[in-house]
Amino acid sequence: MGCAVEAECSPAVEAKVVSASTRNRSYEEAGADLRDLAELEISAKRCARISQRIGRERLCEREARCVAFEGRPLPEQKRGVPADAPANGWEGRVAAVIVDGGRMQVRDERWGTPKEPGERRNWWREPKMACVTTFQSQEFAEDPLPEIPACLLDPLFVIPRVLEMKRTRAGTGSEERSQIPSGTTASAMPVSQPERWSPPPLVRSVVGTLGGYEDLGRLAEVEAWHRGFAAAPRKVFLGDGLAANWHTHRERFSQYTPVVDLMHAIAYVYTAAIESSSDMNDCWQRYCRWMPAVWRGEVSCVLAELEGLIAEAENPDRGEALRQCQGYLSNNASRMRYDAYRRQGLPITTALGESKIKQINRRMKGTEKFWREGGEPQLQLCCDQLSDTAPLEAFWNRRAERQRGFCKSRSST
Amino acid sequence: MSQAANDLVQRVAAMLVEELTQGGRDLATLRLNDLEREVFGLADRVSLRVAESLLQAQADHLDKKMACPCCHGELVKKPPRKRKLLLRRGEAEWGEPVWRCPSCRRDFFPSGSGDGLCGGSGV
Repeated sequence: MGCAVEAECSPAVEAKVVSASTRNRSYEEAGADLRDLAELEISAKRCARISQRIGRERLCEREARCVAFEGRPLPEQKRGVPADAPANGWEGRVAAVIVDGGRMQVRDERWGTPKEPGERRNWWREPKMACVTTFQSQEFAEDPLPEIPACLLDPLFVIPRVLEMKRTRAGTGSEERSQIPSGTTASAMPVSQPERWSPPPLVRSVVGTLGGYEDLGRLAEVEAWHRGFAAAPRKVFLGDGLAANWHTHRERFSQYTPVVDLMHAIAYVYTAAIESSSDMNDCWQRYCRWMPAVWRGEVSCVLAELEGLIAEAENPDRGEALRQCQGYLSNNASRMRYDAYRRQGLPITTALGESKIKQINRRMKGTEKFWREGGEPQLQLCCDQLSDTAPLEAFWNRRAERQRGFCKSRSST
Repeated sequence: MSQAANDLVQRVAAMLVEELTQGGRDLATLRLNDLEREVFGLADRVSLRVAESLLQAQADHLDKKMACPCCHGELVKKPPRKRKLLLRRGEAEWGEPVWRCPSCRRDFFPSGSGDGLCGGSGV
């Protein structure tokens, strides 16, 4: 029969429950959808129980897959391609690993215990995610897009995006100097349409964890190995400037070209420009001079100018903000050679990862949502659902074959 | 759908239509909502009954003397348990055979196996 002895629902119903619980914002919505659309009466509590049990089974499989990978000889881990890897060639394709983080609230053992005087509790944690993906692209003899796209010099395009990134980093809404420089708005309406400066994505698989960056690196490496990425002649590792990302790159993806997300670079260049003067038009002019240089991969020009501005800064807060931007740009300058990346046909933004994180956040993040043990299993199901490789389909088949006709509670003791 | 399955559907459908329209039922005033509720409700109940019968038949078929999949020792028959399972068309109920392995001190449910009696490796 292929159904667990203690199961309350058939595997087909369980698959529907998992799908509804993962695609909807909450288990309550999942229960309502199942009632209205599938004519199945399943309470929110039961949806949560079933989904998290399946999620835990997926976590066990995930761990077993990692252990099996780590049992292979090192050369095979680094250069081997598994027999069941996709059979496609790598002509006109790039292999990419994109790392990013989201937000969700997770209550730990402090929940319910009395607070110390003056103690403030914050349950926000960062679920980490890696998008292991292929892109369709070709190499060029010269930079195919040497001129910076107009939208990147359009305040109506740039400023909202920069502020959104800052809000995401801060975790809450924050007040920023966000006025549009005068004289630029009239000509800039409507907002410039962005040109495509990254190649189109092909097949995406998503891995994620509430654990540390080391755990994420391990999951991403195993997924990339199973996708046969070792055989790809062009490989890229994309992330923001966070040091942990580049530690993961050094430890596990050293054969991949490291690239800092262009939008993060823009955010720091914009912030540096804004902090460089109290006149907004001066600031914008400076941004419009710096950003094309960064686009051409000439971050050193910006750094040289920043050095002088820091020395001249009279306001200590402004000086500190400029120093932070300078630190970010100088630490990541070697990963901002965007002209060379475009020649190689590599993606230069983490937009794909950001999009996946938004979809994960839709399910996991909310001021009213507090996860406990169920967070990691549900996160795993979200990643499975977002993967083009349909890992859940294969899981249901394996799960049916695994049933042995014994109660799980007895067999596990 | 195979020809045989198609023929079966036609036969069952014709039988149900005859049942639903007998006794001079006034079809002129039948609303689509009522028709859907009646027809698909009936189809769901028929599907569920067929699934229950097949599950019972499978359980009866598997209810024969066998060795324990773990230790290969002799199993002892226990009274069948009433099994309820939520399927896509509602809750099915049937009698599931239960065997006990005295050596392993565990109950074994033959119809719960993945591929017959000794599937998988994850006990």
